[in-house]
Amino acid sequence: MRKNHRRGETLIETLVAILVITLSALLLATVTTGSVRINAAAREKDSAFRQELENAETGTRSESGTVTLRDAGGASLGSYSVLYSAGGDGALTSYRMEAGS
Amino acid sequence: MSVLREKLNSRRGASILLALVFLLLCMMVASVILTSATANAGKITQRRNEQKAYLSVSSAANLLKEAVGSAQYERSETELYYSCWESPYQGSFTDSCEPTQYDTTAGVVSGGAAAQLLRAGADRVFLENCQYSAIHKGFGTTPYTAQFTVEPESGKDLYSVKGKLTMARDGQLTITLRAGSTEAADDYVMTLTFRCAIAQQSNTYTGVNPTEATREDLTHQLTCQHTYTYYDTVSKTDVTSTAVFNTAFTVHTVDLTWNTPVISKGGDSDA
Repeated sequence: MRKNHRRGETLIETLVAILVITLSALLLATVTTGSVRINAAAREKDSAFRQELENAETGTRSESGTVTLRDAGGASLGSYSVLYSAGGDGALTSYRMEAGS
Repeated sequence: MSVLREKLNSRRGASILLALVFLLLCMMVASVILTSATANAGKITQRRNEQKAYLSVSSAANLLKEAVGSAQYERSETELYYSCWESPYQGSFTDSCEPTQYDTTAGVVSGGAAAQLLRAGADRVFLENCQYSAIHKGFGTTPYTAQFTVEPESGKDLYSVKGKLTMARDGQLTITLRAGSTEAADDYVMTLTFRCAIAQQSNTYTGVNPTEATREDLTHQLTCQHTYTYYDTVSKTDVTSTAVFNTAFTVHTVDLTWNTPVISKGGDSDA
């Protein structure tokens, strides 16, 4: 029994351990690379979002339309001619009153 | 417990155990990295919704700033005074009229849809500021409030904006706006405060043609005619005759306008 206790690791044990460590390192590397890619995409999206927001606020791409004012009962009190400014292909839009309306 | 102690003291399989601990550690670190990366990406979607609410409310605020700024309210009251009461003829009248008559026009608003919203509140401010007690009814004890919605065209990616208008007795106007959709997870509230300019003017006309003297909507008769009897000392009999008297006609006009507002973030959450 004592002899068994003094015995070192078997080759299989060592190889399995090396395999597990390698897989772990590979997993960590893959996840890190993936997260870097996700962060880069997020940064790119954020930059595009900021640009879209700026376009929506400054009105670089405008088209005419109307905005309706309604009372508490939902009846129309009238409309105003406005210029809608779309930020880009995305959804962000703002509007401002058209001059002379 | 003894198995664990035995395993800890054992010299066999330590490398696999260490490898498994390393694997566990790697998995924990990986999950933290992955979670933070996906959370960062998810924030963009959340920010888009926040900005949509902000753009909806700020656009409505700018629209109302222009619309209310160009709105005007005007209303007049009139006093018609008959001079027959001032200088009665010798003798006595067989008929008579009230010495003074008071009247008021309907409030006229200009400036589009927003002006229509202001009319009822402006009427109350007029009644607070009018000249003649016969017309004066006062503002009332509570501020005037009204709810409304600013609705963009369908198909535009903007929320409808709900508004609450409050007008004080001095005409000061407070408008609270918020994105009126349940989709707007983060409520964005904005408040516009307009000060009111009240201009008053009085003009008196005496014995002139009504069309020259007054606005078109005032159709008062500017003279009155009375039958009277007196004792004629020459013929020594009672004589009946008629006389025409001029009137004094005063028009008192109140104009309300609202100046450039102060726009601030936040406000009454019940808007």
